[in-house]
Amino acid sequence: MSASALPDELWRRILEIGIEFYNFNYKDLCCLSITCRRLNRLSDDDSLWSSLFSADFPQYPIKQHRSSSSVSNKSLYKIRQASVALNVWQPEVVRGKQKQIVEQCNVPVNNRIHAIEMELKLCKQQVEGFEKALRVEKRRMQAAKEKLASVEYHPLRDFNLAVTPIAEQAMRKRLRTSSSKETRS
Amino acid sequence: MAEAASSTIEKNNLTLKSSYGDEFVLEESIAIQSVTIKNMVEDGCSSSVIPLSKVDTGTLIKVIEYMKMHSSTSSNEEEIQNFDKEFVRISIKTILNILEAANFLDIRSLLDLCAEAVANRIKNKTPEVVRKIFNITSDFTPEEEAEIRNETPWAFEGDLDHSLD
Repeated sequence: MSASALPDELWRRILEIGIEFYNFNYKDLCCLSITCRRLNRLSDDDSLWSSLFSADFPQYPIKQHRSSSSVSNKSLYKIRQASVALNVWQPEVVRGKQKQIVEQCNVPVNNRIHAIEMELKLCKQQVEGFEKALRVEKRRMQAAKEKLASVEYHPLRDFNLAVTPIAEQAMRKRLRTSSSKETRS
Repeated sequence: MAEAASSTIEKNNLTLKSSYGDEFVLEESIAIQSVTIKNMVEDGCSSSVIPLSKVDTGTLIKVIEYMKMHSSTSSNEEEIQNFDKEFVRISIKTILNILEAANFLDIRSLLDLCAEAVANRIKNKTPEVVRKIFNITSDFTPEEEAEIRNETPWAFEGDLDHSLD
């Protein structure tokens, strides 16, 4: 019996076991994927790659990816590419940088969009607040200007606005009485 | 009493027949490591010979050898491990045959042992070597193959094993 006669489920088991016990890595899966169409299909299984991924990044449990939809499969594909690249470029600095990118990738796209939208809303609200404050200030300035324009220089009224009218009256009274006295005499 | 005892022992023997027609007598307690055989025994169809039309004689001998070792109470853990290690030092073709038989007979531990052995031979091999080992002819066009290689060029670089072992 040759390998081509081996049923799919046995090949799958071989690949699973290979990853589980023989530390198959991305290279092995890629090499298998190029041998023929059938192995290409079998080695492209998401669960195999996600086991590889979780072996490389134990901080991200596999279930997270399985439970979510095709979006996460796509991001998983990205992650797998990044994780492969990460293993290839050994230098520590590059590795660190790549890891960062991978960590960013891991956030579901929807969540990121949501977060950005929230941020945008917050900014809009803030802008609105500032505009409101600006309007209030402008109104106050307008009022102040009007007041300023209405204010004219008037020595008597300006200095003791409350006292002047009475003083004027008193003065007039006195003037009148004195003039009437003069006319009488 | 003695007669009853001997008849139970007889009753507990099963006859397995390979695809070549060779018959092997095996104790039931050993044979029921195969879930397939166990189910047959439980269903009461074990009175006559059990034909295993998918398993050839050579493979069946190996499978029986494995089952005997794994049901023996005298062998300890280490002996079994060494046995397993030696057991898979055979041609890949034979391993694949046993793998298929283990799948058919539903002997989980043997299936995993063989799958492991196959995985061990694939590990760190170039695509060309994998093709040779498993006698696979590529059904990709050269363009397609180049395309796949370009998708992941780093996967085919570095120290891959070119040997056939």
